[in-house]
Amino acid sequence: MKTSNQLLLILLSIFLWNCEQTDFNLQTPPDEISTGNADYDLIITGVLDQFCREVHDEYFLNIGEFVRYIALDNEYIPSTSGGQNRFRNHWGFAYNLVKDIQFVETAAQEDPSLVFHRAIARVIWVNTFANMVDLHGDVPYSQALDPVNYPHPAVDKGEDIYEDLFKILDNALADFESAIQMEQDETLNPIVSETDLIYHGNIDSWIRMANSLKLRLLVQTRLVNPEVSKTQIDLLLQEDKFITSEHDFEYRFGPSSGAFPSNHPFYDDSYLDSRPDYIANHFIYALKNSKTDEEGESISDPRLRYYLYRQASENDFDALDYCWDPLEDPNLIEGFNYCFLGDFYLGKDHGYLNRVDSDYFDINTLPGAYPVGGALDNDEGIIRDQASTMDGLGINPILLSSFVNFYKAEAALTLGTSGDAETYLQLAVEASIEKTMAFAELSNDLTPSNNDVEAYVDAVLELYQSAATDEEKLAVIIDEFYLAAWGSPLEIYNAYRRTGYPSFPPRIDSGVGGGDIGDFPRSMPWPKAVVEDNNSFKENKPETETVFWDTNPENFIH
Amino acid sequence: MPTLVLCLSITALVYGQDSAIEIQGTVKDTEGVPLPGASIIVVGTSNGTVSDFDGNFNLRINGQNLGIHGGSYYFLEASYVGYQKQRMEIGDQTTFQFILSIDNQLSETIVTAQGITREKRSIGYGVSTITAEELSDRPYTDLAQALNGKISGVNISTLTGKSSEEARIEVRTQLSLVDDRDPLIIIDEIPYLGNLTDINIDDVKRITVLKGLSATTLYGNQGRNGVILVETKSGDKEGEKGVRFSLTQRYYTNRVATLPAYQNQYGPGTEFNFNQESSFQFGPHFDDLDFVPHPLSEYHADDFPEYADTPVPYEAKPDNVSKMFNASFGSNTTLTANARGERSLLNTSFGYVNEGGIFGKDHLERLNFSISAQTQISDRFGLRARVNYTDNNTLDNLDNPLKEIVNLPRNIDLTEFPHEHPVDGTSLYFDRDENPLWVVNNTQRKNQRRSFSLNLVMDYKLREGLNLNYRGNYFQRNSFTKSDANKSGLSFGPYEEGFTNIFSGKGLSFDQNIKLSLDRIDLTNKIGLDAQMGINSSQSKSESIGVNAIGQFVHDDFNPEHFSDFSVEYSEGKRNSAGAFLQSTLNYDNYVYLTLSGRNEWGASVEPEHQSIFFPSASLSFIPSSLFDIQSPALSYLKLRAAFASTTGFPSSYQTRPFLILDTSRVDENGNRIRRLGLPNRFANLDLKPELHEEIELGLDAHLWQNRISLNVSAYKRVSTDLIEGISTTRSTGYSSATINLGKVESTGLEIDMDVHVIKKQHFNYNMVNFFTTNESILKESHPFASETQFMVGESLSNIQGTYPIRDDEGNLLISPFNGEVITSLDLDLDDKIIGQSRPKWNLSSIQRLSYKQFSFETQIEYQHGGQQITNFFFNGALKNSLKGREDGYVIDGVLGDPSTGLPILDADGNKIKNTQILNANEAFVDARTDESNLWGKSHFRIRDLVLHYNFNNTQLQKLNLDGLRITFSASNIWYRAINFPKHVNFDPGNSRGSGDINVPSNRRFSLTISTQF
Repeated sequence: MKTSNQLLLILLSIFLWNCEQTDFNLQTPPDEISTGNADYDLIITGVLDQFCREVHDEYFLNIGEFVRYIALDNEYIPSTSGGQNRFRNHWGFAYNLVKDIQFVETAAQEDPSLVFHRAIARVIWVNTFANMVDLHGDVPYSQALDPVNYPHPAVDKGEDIYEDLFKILDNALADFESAIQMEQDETLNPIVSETDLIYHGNIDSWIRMANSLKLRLLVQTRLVNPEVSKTQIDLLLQEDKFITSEHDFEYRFGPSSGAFPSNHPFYDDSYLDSRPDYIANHFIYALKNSKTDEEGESISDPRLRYYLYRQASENDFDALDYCWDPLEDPNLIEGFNYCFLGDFYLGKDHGYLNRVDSDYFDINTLPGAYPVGGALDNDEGIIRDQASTMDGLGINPILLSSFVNFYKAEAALTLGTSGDAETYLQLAVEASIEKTMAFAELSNDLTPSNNDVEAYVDAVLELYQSAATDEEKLAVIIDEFYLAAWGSPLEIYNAYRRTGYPSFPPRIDSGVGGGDIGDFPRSMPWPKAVVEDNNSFKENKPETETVFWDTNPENFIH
Repeated sequence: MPTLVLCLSITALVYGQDSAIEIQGTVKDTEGVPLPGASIIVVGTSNGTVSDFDGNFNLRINGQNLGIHGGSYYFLEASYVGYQKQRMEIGDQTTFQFILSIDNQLSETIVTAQGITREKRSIGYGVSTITAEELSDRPYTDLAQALNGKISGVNISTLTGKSSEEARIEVRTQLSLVDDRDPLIIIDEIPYLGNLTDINIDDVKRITVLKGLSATTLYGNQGRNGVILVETKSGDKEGEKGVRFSLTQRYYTNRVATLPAYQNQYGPGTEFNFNQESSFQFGPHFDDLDFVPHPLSEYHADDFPEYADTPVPYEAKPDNVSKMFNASFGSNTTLTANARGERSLLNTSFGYVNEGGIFGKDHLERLNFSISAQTQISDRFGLRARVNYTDNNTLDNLDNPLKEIVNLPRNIDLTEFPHEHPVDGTSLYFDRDENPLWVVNNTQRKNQRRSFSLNLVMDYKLREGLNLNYRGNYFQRNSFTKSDANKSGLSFGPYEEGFTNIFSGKGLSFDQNIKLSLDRIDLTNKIGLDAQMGINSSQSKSESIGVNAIGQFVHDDFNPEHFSDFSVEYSEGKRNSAGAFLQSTLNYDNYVYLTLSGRNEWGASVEPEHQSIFFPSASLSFIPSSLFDIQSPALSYLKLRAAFASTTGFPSSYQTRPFLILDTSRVDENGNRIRRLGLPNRFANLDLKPELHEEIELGLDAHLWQNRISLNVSAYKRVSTDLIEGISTTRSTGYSSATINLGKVESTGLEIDMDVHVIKKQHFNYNMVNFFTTNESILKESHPFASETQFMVGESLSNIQGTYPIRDDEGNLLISPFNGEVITSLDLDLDDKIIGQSRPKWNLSSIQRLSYKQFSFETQIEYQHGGQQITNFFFNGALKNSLKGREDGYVIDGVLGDPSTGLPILDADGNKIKNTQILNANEAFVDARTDESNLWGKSHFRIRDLVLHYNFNNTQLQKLNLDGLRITFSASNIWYRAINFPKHVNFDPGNSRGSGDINVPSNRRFSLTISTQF
């Protein structure tokens, strides 16, 4: 062989030394999990964790002030971009979550054994978008999740979205039925217990959840579709497969300590941050002073010591320093001044714009054991750093059996659906108290006795019975819903716009601490960032714009 | 020094003894001016030398090989850039007088892309060449910094004056929107994947910068950001036979160039009230208060009761900032050994840099080592190999304690009280931040980067004029970074718990190239052709692991295992690309050259349908001075050139396919980890394509005034389409970000190089080299994904958007009647607008070279015009500029306006009302500031460096028994003046990020270099 040929051969062999050189199939990252390798159980974990924790945390943090759980110390919708962006994270979480649901939906089309996965995914889809519409009215829906064709998705009408959601919810229920059948045939791809963070793979519980969600949406839309709501609700009541106390739809947080802090976010805000939020005085008042017994003595709510923790005791509390002189405030109506409610409960009034300076952060009243995993009020009255807390092992109460009974009561009263509203109210209140008291253990002498609970329930029922009109009866129901829904302010934000209750006192504004808190937002503005980065949005809508199911008049709530 | 021993022993093998003849001579031009640096070789051999400063040379040749003694070598040839070569027969004489005349044909050749050597006159695009003379013997350790201002169209920026900082190079305009602007580095014809700082400046022989796409198109994707061709001394092919050593030793000082001018009349606080913790220096006058509490009394009274009760005098500490900076030294040693035999040569180079930084722990240590060997195995077959090893070590502080230091209260001298607790080592300070001195002493980041490359080049002459060339290059880099911070003892802040982070990564790449070249063949007696074609393949792999540990238990213990909590991150990746190119040049009668070329590139980072892209290019060189035979002294040479070229840019890997993210960051109520899986927030763009860049370049090269003026002008227009950019998407798409082909950017630019030999005398020469650069990039089209505020079509890419004060129709500032402050866009809730441009409008630099006998002097003067940056740190009242108006207050010049409407308020007669409200100093300085009022023009003058050489001549050298000796004194960053910045700020706009963060200021260095050959 000639030298030149030898040389060419050598060169060629070096050049093609290994075939890796010509491997151009390198688009899949070697250090990530490919979509083809998806574990759909873990995706369901992700969907549930995103909806029940990330999304719901946003409600807790952002809606509490509107319904007087947390004291509002600013305008309702501040003009600063921070205020306009109140729900920016929520949009991110929500649309991210539905994207994973879409992924499950696509996979289930290929693989029918994933029908249970799909059913759960669809229920969460419905709940997520229903909440989006309840909050923001019209939102991107049909053009969402398709960046190639719709890089700037336009909004759909809220009622159109709801219409689709009802269909999807019925499909989900049908999916659950086929899942039961397939489970018997052993063709179902079941969900491993620990990956279903809520119901541990129990199909029956999920059916109860879906039915309860359907009830919630039907009550929500009762003002625009009373006949449909009535018929549908009666069907559901006939079937009677709702959440009971052992099927409460709730997310259970992990501890704040350890390498992976996983606690309730409001535990963080209340016990770990330097500036805890104030509890709204109305909430304290409603728990502590709103019920009286036959003698006219005030009955405190059995849930009070579970709901709220007092950092202060008589040793370190001088309320006079804290309250402004009520007589100088012409906007306050006599009898509604509860700036300081006694017994070392230190909250703040809704709409009191002056931020209270940090001197009070060691004595103000904090969220207690339920639902944020804080401290139980055992009359110790010590500062939060030293209090013995539940380490943030709280819950997000998303849809509880008590909520379901409040919805049933509202439907029976307003739509005339089957069953007795008062009975439902009683069941609701009892379920809420029972759940709260089971959540943590107060010291023996402070634990409300059965008599205490009974007395409280009686007082509520007395209020209901003595109410002259259906309107007043509705007020009693929603006022109790407000107390039961501590931890789930979205329920109350919706109820307030739907019914005009809870019966909040007139707000204080203009004059105390500065400017006007603005009109009550009948729907939330779209996040400023969304209006800016989505070219389909030209400008934001006024906060007085109502959601489609809210047909109540202007200035109907404040 | 084991390295040296190794070199010597290898050298001895190559170098055999022979009967040497000593010859000598001079090289001068027709006017009798000596030509230093002219090369003299024995024709047919690689044996040669260069003339010294007086044009003298000495050469030792093997007498047996000379024609007169029966050998095959007959001629000695002298050549010098811009002059005709001259040959002399070697007879009996040993002394030669070369007199070279100016070459109007310019047969000079240069190395272009892919190692193709071409006659300069045939090239249809502009290139810049810079020689060792212009770079070496200066106090720089980073080659990029040494190139600053010496090449038109090349923008070099240093962010800080830290020794561990690497300069960034941008050739022409920013081509891609993604932050990948590094040009391709080629060392001795082989791609080098390391950093420019890893190259030893004193080993550089010559640098050629290929700026335009026409020049770089043969490298494809890799070369799109420009190509820097480095020829090293250790890779040198030419030279004198035998063993030669050269040693360059440099010592230099390293100090901060300039600090702001501080006021020493007022202490910390606002409105003349003392407040030690205030970040403003508008407190009481130093004469108005005798004593203040000890700085540590506020937060450390428990530990140091002695301070709690001991007030300290309230007085200024004028040098409290300057004493925080180090006066450091550096040294740089380069030793090369060249051994050259008849058909083989071996070169080794060893370099070592050790430099102390101007602030904190900043330190740099670097070792370079390279061996290159070449041999001509037969007449047809040559082999060359090179091994290069670099070990680069830097040390630095974490965070940036300078932010605190430059704003230190005027009464605080950090050295006067302890900065850490004597027992537990926690930070002690007058406020709740870490003491900056504590940060300096308790944090560090050490980085080690080792790179190793091995190259092999084979040349095979298939037949006369037809050559085959193979180049293989293996490169490996290992990097290791460890960042440590002690726990600070504070209840918050970055160092609260203490941490240590380790990052270790390795990268491998293997690059191969086969090229077939056809040397010039004459098709007719006027038309000639040459052609090259080749294929290349490159693959790279990377793998890295990081460990982040927080929660230190024991002070000064940084073993991550000992921390309370740690997490691990890991990544790996692989990338392949390939190319095939063809280039052919048609020459008509040596005055028209047409070059056509094309390259097809394949890249694996996109989906198969987009993996292949072809890009053609064409260039034309026309030399009217040859066509019309112009030989006037005024214009001796004129070349007009035009070129069109295109190239591509592939995205980084793994952006086209979705994958799932596993999140394990939380636990359930029982403490068990929750594992959740989901799609990422980044949209996987299956349709991602490589970028396409096209460029038209027009230019001329001319030699005027008896070749004493050389002028090169290049103008270009670039159109980039399908630009790859990461953008944020609107959330209802389900994604928060995406990598997309954004649209279209058009850039234009002009580069002028003018070299003037002003004075040309036997003993005195004055040479002036001027560079002018300007360019601009405009976004022409955007993508539907991209938000309109993020990417503004029709606007420059270097836009600065920000808040601004409101003005009336006559340009007066509107002042709020409620507080006397300026009404801003924030008050009216207006969107930000474009308030400036970060890119300078143009740059000019001028290098002056004077030589008198054996002395030569050089200085580089620069001016940058335009460009702005937002910088707002001057207004806390610490600097001298804050003294004006302190006692009496300020009135902002403007008219009253309504803060809710943004309209002027009119008086009863309908006239505007002039503002008369008096603000106190800190209100005026601190409040109502907008981005626009913190926007400063970056125009500045600079004297970059100053060099004085003394060259020993041959007579002196013979006495010293050396082959060469030069002593150089040099200084860098002598002076700068930013004309638009406030006077006392002394800010160096050439040394900062656009945002105006406070970084280590620029440094100033003085050096002494001794460079010798023996």
